[in-house]
Order: sequence, then structure tokens, then C-alpha cells
Amino acid sequence: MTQLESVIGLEVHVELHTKTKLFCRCRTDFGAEPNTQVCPVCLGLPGGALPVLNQKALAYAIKASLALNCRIAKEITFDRKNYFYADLPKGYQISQFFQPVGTKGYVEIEVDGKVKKIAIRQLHLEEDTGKLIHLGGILSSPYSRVDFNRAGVPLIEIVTEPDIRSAEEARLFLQKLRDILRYIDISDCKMQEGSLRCDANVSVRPAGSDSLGNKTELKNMNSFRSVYQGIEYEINRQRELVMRGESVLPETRHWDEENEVTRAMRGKLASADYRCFPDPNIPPLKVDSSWVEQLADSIPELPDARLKRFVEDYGLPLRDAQLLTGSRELAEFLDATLAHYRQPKAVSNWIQGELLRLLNLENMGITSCKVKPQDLGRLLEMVDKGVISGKMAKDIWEEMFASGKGPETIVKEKGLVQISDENILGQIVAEVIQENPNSVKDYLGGKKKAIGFLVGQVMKKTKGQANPQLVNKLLREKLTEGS
Amino acid sequence: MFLYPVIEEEVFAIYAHLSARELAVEVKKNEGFREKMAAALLQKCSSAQKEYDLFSSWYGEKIAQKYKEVISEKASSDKKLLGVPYVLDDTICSLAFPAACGSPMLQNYRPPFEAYAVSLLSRAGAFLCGKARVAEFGLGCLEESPLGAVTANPRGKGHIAGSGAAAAVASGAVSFALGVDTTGELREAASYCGIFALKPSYGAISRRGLIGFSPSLEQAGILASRSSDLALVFQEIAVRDPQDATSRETFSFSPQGDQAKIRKIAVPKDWSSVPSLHEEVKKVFADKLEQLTAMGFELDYISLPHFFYAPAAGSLLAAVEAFSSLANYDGVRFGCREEGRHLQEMYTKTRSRGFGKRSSNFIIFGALVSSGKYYDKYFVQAQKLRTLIKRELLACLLEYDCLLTPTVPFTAPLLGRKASDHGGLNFVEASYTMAANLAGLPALSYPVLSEGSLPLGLQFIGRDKGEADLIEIASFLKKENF
Repeated sequence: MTQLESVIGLEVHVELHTKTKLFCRCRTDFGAEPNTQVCPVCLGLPGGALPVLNQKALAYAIKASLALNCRIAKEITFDRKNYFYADLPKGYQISQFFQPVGTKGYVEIEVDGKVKKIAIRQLHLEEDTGKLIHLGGILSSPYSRVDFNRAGVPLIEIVTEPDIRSAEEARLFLQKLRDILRYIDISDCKMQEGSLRCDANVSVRPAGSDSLGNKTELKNMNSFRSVYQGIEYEINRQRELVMRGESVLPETRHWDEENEVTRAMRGKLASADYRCFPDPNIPPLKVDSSWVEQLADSIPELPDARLKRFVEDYGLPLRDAQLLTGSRELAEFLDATLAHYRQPKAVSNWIQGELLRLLNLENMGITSCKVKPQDLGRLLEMVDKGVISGKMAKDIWEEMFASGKGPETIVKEKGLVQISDENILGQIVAEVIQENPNSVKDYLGGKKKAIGFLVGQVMKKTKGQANPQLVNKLLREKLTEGS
Repeated sequence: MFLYPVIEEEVFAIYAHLSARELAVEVKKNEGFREKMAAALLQKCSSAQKEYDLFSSWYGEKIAQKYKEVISEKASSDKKLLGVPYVLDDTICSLAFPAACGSPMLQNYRPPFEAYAVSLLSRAGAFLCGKARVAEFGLGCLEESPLGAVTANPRGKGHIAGSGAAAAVASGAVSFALGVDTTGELREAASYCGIFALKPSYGAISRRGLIGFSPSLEQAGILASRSSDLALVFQEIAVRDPQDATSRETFSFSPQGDQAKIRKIAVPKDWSSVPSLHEEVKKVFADKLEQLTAMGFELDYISLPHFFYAPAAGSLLAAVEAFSSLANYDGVRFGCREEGRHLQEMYTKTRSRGFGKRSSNFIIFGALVSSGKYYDKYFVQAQKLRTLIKRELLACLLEYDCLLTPTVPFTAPLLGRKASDHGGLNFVEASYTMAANLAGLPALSYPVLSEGSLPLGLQFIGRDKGEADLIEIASFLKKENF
């Protein structure tokens, strides 16, 4: 029996986080009371459904296309995809069929240490549908209610070529896609909330073959984990069918999260005829090339490039760099801190240790962190210069995190400046030696550890503000002097 | 029912002889006139309604009171259409009246917003008397709406008016009407009733609030008894609407009275080969061509090989757009809803009951010619034809100032006939009108009235944004008693 390989293509829907809908000015707030964010346009009322394109949504789609290495169309059209469903107010969805925003792009993923390109066939803008609300399951519910708040919310759909060969590759692609889209700040990309949705077309064929086997369309995968599991399950199911000499039915299948199986939903044999045609309410739109250039300039450094820079320029270990570039804000915090204080390793350690510790403790995101990067830089600088001790720095840091105040302010307010004046410390050291003859004896008798106690006494007298290195030095000098 | 007040003849005719401009001036300066005007409006609208059955909804006996209220609110400021009465096709949304659109689907439907053009008219001080009857969703003029009523023609006893709005203008009940022209409906009804119609350039008047079925063809237009009234109203409503993506920049429009700039007129040389052309129309049109030559206009008979394919291409494209644009009538959010055991059954029952036979057939036709099997063969071909027709007309209008045809191949048909008697969905009535909708060009129907026979219309198709030229030639010809 020849080896079977799996062929996978993904269709990813991403909800853009614009303030208003794609074709009207209704708000897009998540979780609002049902049917409170609607108007004649998004409800498809008679005489009311005149769509006017949200330029911000188009800008987001262009940015996404650029970030995914797509070609940007010089002229775009919006087209009607006609079908009936209760969550679709107009009886057609406005999408892009003939001239989408982006085509022929790619995303790079790393598979077994090698870079692999997953080609993107197209990226287009379209409007979301409403949501059906049921009591319990769809079959047992005595009614269907419809919430049209989501109807008309802008989506981009990203369609890959069938370049993906395993569930793991699909997961890697999707994660990379999410990281990129988060970096360019066009969507929350939360699978659980539905702002990132992924359908997979899965088929198997003899390895090396050019033809494609019958494919199934896999839906209802609501997490990265379920994308992996669903595809993995489906590949195995199809393999077994083919091994047994049975054929794979072309159909839509649902991933059943609870039972970890895929189930047939509806046959694709009588496939829908959407009769797509250009929406006569929206004239074809020229995309201004200087605008595209402006948008291209606004795209920040993307995760791959940033990772490379963190390793090569900052000399950070790969694992640290990966962790930091996993979040655009964290990476930017590092960059911003380094602009004031060029010690990559120290800053990286501080972010991964102290910053993430407090963020996790408070269950906060970096965006709501009050500390300014330059303040962290100055804090670390104060330690280097011996103005404060490492121990003090941690206390000051907590105060900075809580109040957002700069380190100098806190030091001044609490009188926390480290005492590094040899005259002042010398006096205190002398006092301590006088007050603790036993420990002095122990030290001079060879118990070198006894000096720790003496240092502690000095710190106690100075409320922790003494420079510990200096105290150590002075103690040794004084003790040796006296002997 | 209510009793019609007895009114002296002098009051009855108080505004018949006034243009909209003159009427607005009288209303503004003369409070006594307003009183008389209100009474006359009640009398005139009541009797027109009784005689021709033109309103689908209106103020009824409250109209006089309403008129006085509305005008006294607005009289203080300078308004060009102050107190000028008008009606709307039922397919245009207003807040004051329901919009049944001649369909059981929308019986008793009240729009929660008003059309942009209606807001502009209201701002200009015009007085909306009510909504006028249309064929279902305003598709054509010939078929009686499934809601039953057919409006009779004020200028031809026993004949149809084509639309309630045309009857309202022709009867003198109102000064003008705002309607929708998709395949030529406005010009057609104007031709039947012997009044003027202006279908403007595509995008000149906002389509927001038009309950249409074919966005790429439909355009709001004006019916009036005077060409100068067309101009006055057009000026007020041809304003760019940022909420309609097909609305265009407001363009300059300043018709210079009754001096015609148009000199060179093209006539399609095959104008008389339209199969349904009636002898009488043919004769009158030929006479008019001679008269124009005698008046010194330069007339050329030119070949327009694609022009007469317009009804075929236009009806096909309109049907595809209707199939899609009327898909929002699903019983979920508004209008007619029939119960079903499941969603599919609810759709089927709702749409079967809600749409009349002609609309149903039109939708099914549209679904068929856009289906995978016929998409390239019919839909794409029709789009190509549209491009050719548009190019042909633009080329013609580079050389000529306008194109002249009869408006409709026949005069107003008798009441009680069905559209199928006129060729069903073949749109023979749109033989001359459809091309302007496909090309998005302005067109004006000029009334020809003669003692003892039914009115008919001459259609002038002008250059893009050439509304002023069309209105000028109409005013000139009227002055010359053409």
C-alpha cells in the first residue's frame, strides 16, 4: 500500500475590531443587549439597505494583506452572495468575489527546523451575519430568536492554498497568522469569542500525487487545540476509509468537542449556487496607491523579523526572544526600555521575571501596565550605579507598578536612597562592632560567616538603606584593623 | 366616508393656473390664500381620489387642517416650495404614511425613516398629500397591483393612468410628484397622462429610501404639468447624499428659461420598426419630426444597432437584481409572515402569499438566468449588451445634442387588461425608455395633447448631467405650442 498524505486548506474568518460596522455606522461592541446595535441598513429594511463602506475596515484589510505578503488590488468590487438564512437580513451577504483586496500572499512557518511557505490564495472583506439564539439545542428549542447586533460587523476571510500537510502545520499556521494580525492591531483574534474562526478543507491522497481526493469541510473548531484535534481526527478517519477501499464523501462535518469526533452535517452533493454578482449599490472602488504606501509604512516590525533582531542584535537566547515576541506589546516594552538603558539581558530578565509576575498576579495585560519603559530603564540604572540595592529595586518596582510613579519619586518620597557615604557608614559600622563583641570574636576566631550577622545589624540600623557591598568592605577593614 | 364640502368654482381652481414658484410666493405672502388653498386642496384631492382612485394612503378629510398646520410652521423662513402640494410613489419612504408598495408583502408596513429626497422636499417647504398607487414594487405600469386598485386616467376615460402619481398631477390635484423610474415607469405614466416626466442622470438624486428592486437601473424622478416645475423641484433634490454610495457630486444645474441650446437631434432610424408601435403614435411622431425640422432643428436618422435590445437586456438584469434585492422579504423582520413548521416552510409560504404573480415570475426568472447553468449564457451576455448600449448612446451624444423617440409605442391601454396582454415580461412598453436606464442618462418625456385623442409622449434622451438642456428644450417647445 502506498503512503497516504493529507492535503489541507484553511478558510479563516477574522473579525476586525473597528468601532462601527462595515456598511453602516452601528457600533460593534461585543456583548451588547440583543438588537440594540442595528439600523435600517444592517437590518435590510425595505428602502434602507444602502451600504456605505467603512474606510477603516478597508484600511485594516489592506494592512492585513500587506502583512501577509499579498498583492493589493488596484480596484476592488463588492459582490452579493445570495442565500436564505434567518441570520442573514438582506438575503445576501456582501462579500468580495471578483476583485478581492489581496491575492497571492504567503505566511512562513517553521516545521522541523525548516521554513515552509503556506500560500494565501486571497484575502477579502465581507460582512458578518447575525446570531441565532436557541433555548438549549437547535433541535429541542421551541423557538429561534435572532440577534442582529453582529450582522454587518466587518470580517476578513483569508483563504489558503491546499499547502498544509498536517494538523500540526495547520496549528502553526493559525498561530502565526494570529500573531501577525495582532501585531498589526486589526483584531483581538480570540477563537473562544469567535473573533477568529477557522474552517478546514481536508482530504487525503497517495503521497506525491498531483490530484486531490474528495474533501470534507470541517467546521466548529473553537480553539487552536480543537483545530489540531479536529484535523488530526479527520485525517485518520479518511485514511481508514481509503485503506478499507471505501470512498470519502464530500460533505461538511462538525467537530464535536465533547466526544472528540467529527460528524457529518450536510451533504455537499447538492452544493449551493450563490449566484454571485457585483452589488449595484457599491460602485467599484479604486485603491489609491499612495494610501497603500502610507498603510505599509504604518505596519510595525512583524514577529519573525523582530525575533531575528532580538536574537542577533540583542543577543537574547532564542527561548527568551520567542517569549517576548509572542506579544507585540511585550516586545515593544523591551525595545522602548532599551532605548533608555542598553542592557538587553538585564531588561529581558526583569520583564520575564518581575513584570510578568506582577501582571499575572493582578491578572492584567501589559497594555494596562502603568509603568513607563524609561522608568524601568532608570530603575535598573540606579541599581547599576549603586544608588539603590537590588532588594530595594524590587520594592520600588512594586510601588512603580501600583502607582505608575517614576523610581526617583518613590525613592525621594520614602527616603530610600542608599547610603554609600563611607563616613556615615563607618560610624554605624563602628557602633555595630562595639555592640556585638561576641560576633566580632567569632569572626576573628575564623568563623567568617559571622560577618553576615554584622552586616544585617548595619542594615537594620539604616533601615535597609546601606549599600551592602560598602558595608561589607568597611566591616572587613575595621575588623582587620582592630585585630 | 365623509361628505365632500361644497366649494365654489373659484376656490376650486385656485392653484390650477399657478406654477409651483408662483404658488409658493402666494402662500408665503398671503395668509388668506393659505386658507383657500387648504380648502381647495381638500376638494381637489377628494374628488380626484373618488374619480381615479390614485392614493394608496393620504390625509383624507384632515388634509386641509394638516396643510394649514404644516405651512404655518414653515411660513416664516424663505422656502422655494412653500405650500406646494405633491405626492410620492408608494415605493418612496416617508414617515407620515405606510409604504405598501402595491404588495401584500408590505401591506400596512410603516418605514421607520424617510427618503433623503423627501427630507429635502420637506425642508424646501413642499406639502406631502399622500402616497400614490404603483404596480407591485413599482415594476412597470400596466399590471394592476395584487392589492387590487388600478388608477384611472384623468385624460382618457376608461384607460389606465400608469400610476397614481401621474393621475394626481394630470388631474391638477398636486403640482408635482416624485416617483421611481426603473424601466421607464415614470415616463410611461407621463406619456399616458399627458404630463412631463424627468428621469435624471443616474446618481443625481439619492436612492436612500426608495423601495426598489433594481439598484443599477432605478432612479427617482419628477412628474409635473410644467417643465419649469421640473426644474424647480430638481434643483432642490439633486443633492449629493453621503449615505448613498451611488449618489454623485451635486452638479451645476441652471436652465436658462425657454431658450433651447439643443440644435442637433438624433432619431434612431429604426424607430418605426418596434413591433408594438401603434399607428396613431407612429403618425403623431412622424408629424412632430416634420414640425421640428420646419422649426429649424437639425434632425438626423442614425443607426443604433443595440438600442432596441435594451428591453431584453434591461429586463433580464432587472430580474437578477430583483431576485437578490427582494430576498430581504423573508418574514423574519417585517411585513408579511406566514407560519411554518420550519424555516424553509416559513419562507416558502411567506413569499408565496406576499408576492403577486408578476413579481414572483420576475424573481424566478432572475434566479434562473443567474444560476450556474445560465450565468454566462444570459446574465453575462446581458451585461455586455448593457455596455454596448451605453457606448452607443454616449458616442451618439458626442455628435448630437439629444436623442428623440416616442416615449411609449402606444397610448394608455384600457382598464382591466393584464400585462400579459402586452407581452408579459417582454417589456414592449419599455422599447424606447429602457436604454436611458441602462446607460444612466437623463431622459425627459414631453406631452403631446390633442383634442379628441389620448395623450402621448416624446422622449428626449440627453447627455450625462444634461438635465438643464432637456428642460430648456421642453420649455421652448411648450412656448412655441409645439
